[in-house]
Amino acid sequence: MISIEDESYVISPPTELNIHTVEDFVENLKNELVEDKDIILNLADISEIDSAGFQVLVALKNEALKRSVSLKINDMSPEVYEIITLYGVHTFIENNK
Amino acid sequence: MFFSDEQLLEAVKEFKDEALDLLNGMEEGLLEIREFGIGGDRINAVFRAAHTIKGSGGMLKLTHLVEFTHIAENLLDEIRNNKISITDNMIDTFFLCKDHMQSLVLFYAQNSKKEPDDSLKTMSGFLMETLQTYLNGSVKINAPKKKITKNQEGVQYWQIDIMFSKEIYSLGMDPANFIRYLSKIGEVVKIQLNTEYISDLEHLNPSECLIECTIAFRSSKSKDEIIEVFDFIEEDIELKLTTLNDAQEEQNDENQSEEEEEESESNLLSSQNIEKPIAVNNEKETSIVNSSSLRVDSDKIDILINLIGEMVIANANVVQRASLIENSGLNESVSAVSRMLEEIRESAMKIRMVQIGETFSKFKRIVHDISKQLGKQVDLTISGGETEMDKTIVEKISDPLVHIIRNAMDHGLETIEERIAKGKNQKGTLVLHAYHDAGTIAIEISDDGKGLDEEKIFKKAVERGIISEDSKLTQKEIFNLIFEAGFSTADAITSISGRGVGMDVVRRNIEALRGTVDIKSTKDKGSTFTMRLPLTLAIIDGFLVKVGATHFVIPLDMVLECIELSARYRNEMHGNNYINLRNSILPLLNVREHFSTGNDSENLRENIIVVQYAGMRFGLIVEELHGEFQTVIKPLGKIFRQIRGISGSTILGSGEVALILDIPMLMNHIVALQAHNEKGDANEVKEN
Repeated sequence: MISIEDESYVISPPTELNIHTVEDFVENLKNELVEDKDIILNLADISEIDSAGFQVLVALKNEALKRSVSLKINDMSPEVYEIITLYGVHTFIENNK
Repeated sequence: MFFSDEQLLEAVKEFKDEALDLLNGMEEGLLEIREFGIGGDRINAVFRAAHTIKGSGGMLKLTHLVEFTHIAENLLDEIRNNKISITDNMIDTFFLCKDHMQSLVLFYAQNSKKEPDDSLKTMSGFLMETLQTYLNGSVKINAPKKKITKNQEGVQYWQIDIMFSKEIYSLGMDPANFIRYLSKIGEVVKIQLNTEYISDLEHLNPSECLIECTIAFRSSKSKDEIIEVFDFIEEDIELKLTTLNDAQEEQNDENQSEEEEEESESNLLSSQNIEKPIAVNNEKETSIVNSSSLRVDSDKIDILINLIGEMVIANANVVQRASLIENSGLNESVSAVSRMLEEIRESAMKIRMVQIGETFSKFKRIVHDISKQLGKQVDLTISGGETEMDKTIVEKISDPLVHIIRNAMDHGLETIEERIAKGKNQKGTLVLHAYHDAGTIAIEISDDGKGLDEEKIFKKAVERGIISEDSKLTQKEIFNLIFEAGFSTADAITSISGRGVGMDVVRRNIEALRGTVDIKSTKDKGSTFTMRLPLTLAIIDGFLVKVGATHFVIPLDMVLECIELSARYRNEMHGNNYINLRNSILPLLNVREHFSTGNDSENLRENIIVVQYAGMRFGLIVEELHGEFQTVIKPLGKIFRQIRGISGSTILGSGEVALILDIPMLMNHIVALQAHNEKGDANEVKEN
């Protein structure tokens, strides 16, 4: 789920990123993201995402800001795109594509 | 169309408070940009301030403000996107724009008529032209379209503020579904997620819902029908529904088209990116979202504090009567009430306390402007900004402070050439420092300029007829001459200072607040002006004493100790007005003699109360000591206002009046007496 490639963390969240999976996912992130490395998010395989999942993405973004590392989104599924536009933060993605 | 004129004016007044805060933020941002460049979030902060003012102004149809701000915003946006690089001149123009926006906001807050007067418009025109030159003509003036969209029958615009409870996920609810449903019964024009509430990863509790957002919504449904959407989770949501006028639509149309290029990824998700449209209050509100601070009319607090003051007096009466009855149960209850009353008093006073930092940061701009005008380089250092004091006092010292700062920069600091010639750093320093000191707040304004010129001041004062030529004055007295009415030492009267009205007004304002101001100055090293102000105006802790039949109250913060005026001390005095207290001289003031309170109790034991103020101490000879006492200051009537040495009065539990001693004033009196007695020494001081 989390690997290191070219000095960056590459994160692929669970395909169902919702209230049932976020707890483990966040726990995992907290344990793995120990160094201030750039973050690459791979959101292509997410088939289901809810607000709980969405707010983890925002928290990740905030974390990246705090650590002054970059956060890039590799690709995203239509489901992710939908919820991000729903919450009106679509520029979050557009600038990262 | 949803506002009556009156409602609109009310909404504009609310807008004013928000806008002024934003403008202050903008000014601070600009100052930082000047110093550190546009990096970090600085340019974004300035941009957002302008953007939010434009947005809120648009909602209230403040067309002129919106048009003006729009151009400033355009330029800021170009700078933000590195298309235009910012220059010092540009920053100065932005400062002017900020001032002008402030004038416009204040104008709208006072006038119900929609169009600013000609002088404001001329200024707008001038600034817009300047901004446009910076924009290089490459960007067209893209003022908001003035189309007035006619609302379709029954279609209204709503602002919906939603805060979901943290537990909502555990109920199996997803906030996103409600928002999706909203778009089925109308159009979600814009949604603004308040990302401030979503923490970083480290602090995230993933099972708590942190969604809070503001939605601009357009629908033909009624308020109740919209609220119905959230019926299901009624208990777990804070909802605020406000109708917006059609200006909002314009605003949103524009926002949407601009948004993509205008909001960069880095700020959109940052916690500062909260452009919460202001809530336009009207009767359509359903509930009010809790917030951590609220604005309260200061009159209401004054009434509360006044009432508490009255209670303190009434309570003193109760305490006294209870002590006569000698019922232990009653005494216990009374002391419990007294204790609580004191706590109430303290909390009420705290409401009024504000940090002085806000006033201080205002000076950054003033220093910037003046240094530019004078061609001097000035480094401003501010410390102690977190010191708290009564809001009324903070407001009232602002003008005197500005004046002292102006004087320091104009008369105190030398020009760059002069400084280089003297071997000083060509950049002058100005230090603002606030701190607590013996129950007062001291504010120091120091510069490293040329210092006060005693000879020049003396000569000037003789010229102006303030003193006679053969007056013998101490250094301190000479310095204090600059506070006399009609005194001005500037060789040339500049627009900044030296109009001869000023320092006397400064002193008068400070004294009106029961404060003092004094000066320390060394030639070519610089001067320090120290203002000392009481923490608060209304209630003080006092020390109650009695002389003859008269009660006096001494502010407790200034009391150091009480000693008995024993026969030994009396013998040592030899009729002089000082004693030797642990090997240092303590000047004394006999309260009975000073206020001529009569001579009816000759043989009473006398006590000395040692008080300290502004680093000096002296003793007051009094008779009975009654101890600590909470007291409400009542101003003296007009007839008694001339009495020096008394700052006010208070009413005791018994109904008697006690006079509050004005220690700073008495201290001056003693210093003057000493100077008078030591004329010879004074001359020596002067020669030094």
